[in-house]
Amino acid sequence: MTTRARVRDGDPDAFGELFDECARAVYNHAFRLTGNWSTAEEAVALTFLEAWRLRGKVDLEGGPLRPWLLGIATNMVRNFTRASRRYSAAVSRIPPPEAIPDFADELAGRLDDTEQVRFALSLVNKLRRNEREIFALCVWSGLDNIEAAEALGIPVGTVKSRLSRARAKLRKLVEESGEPDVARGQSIDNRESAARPDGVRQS
Amino acid sequence: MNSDLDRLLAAPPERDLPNGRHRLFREQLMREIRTEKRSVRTRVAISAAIAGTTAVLVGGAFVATQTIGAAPSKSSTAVDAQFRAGSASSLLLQMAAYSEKLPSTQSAHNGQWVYVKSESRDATQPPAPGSVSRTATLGRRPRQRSMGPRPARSGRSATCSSGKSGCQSTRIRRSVH
Repeated sequence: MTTRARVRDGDPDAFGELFDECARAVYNHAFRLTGNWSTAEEAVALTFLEAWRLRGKVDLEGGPLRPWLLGIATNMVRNFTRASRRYSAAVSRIPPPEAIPDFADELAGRLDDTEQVRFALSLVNKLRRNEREIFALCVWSGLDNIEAAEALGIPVGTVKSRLSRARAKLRKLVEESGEPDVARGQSIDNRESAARPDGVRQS
Repeated sequence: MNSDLDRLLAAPPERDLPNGRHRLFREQLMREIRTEKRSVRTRVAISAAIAGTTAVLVGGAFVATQTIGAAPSKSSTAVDAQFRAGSASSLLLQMAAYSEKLPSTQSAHNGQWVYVKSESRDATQPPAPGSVSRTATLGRRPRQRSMGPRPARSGRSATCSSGKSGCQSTRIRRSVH
């Protein structure tokens, strides 16, 4: 029995495995959309509760369920107040995080990351919401166009056009901002682009 | 050119959930799932009990109606004996098992009229387990046809519009919380 079939049937163990596999991706995706780690934590809890509620809509055919979860997380962040209200009872049962301070270097790293994402978000937030979500899914979370279309329930052509528009606007915004730290900060990491060609799935 | 832009606005390295939060959220999810599964089972059992009780009441009333005024025959005595012997409880169990197999999409909302249809083929024979009544929960009130009799509005039970002998329907108001 496939993971999709087990999730659709409401197998609790399948949801446990799905959580172990995708919680990190959901956490980081939510952070990229909100710029706030605490909100991202709450979004993780809400996303999986919502996934449990929507399990009946999972197609039996298809690949990994990560795009589906990222789509739910995107909607969750979009309607955070409504989602928090729906699961207020469940969320209230989650104890608050322990008040143990982070290690200094980890804290500094977090601040750097937060600053970096804040700058990126300041530009990305100038996009329309649907363009912003596509950019976060395709560029930041590394979904291809097909997976992003599945995540948001829209046609692949719409994903392509929105992503193209988002990139054009961002290119213009980056040129206007003239922020040297952006280029410097990214060149230190020397990371490859997160964007992947269509149809190439992550191994 | 796109890759240059993506590099400029690349996301920071991914992070894990803070210490203990992964386990905490996972346990929370499992707890919510277990709670919901339990409540679903309870709802199914309640609806099955309602359906079963109604079927027993309707069946009993039907048998009483058929046998009233007539001398107690051997078969009617057997029916009574079987009812007294606790066949109602076994019938309830069968109803519960049947209801669990039903799709849950036709759930009734609060205050909705739910029709429970029971059908007895032969009133003179004792109701064999599993075949004495067929109970179906209908999500909506069926559309009335001009040729069929309307179910009584104030009565507890009414003859089924199909006109079959021994077919009765009872409506009950169901509260779902």
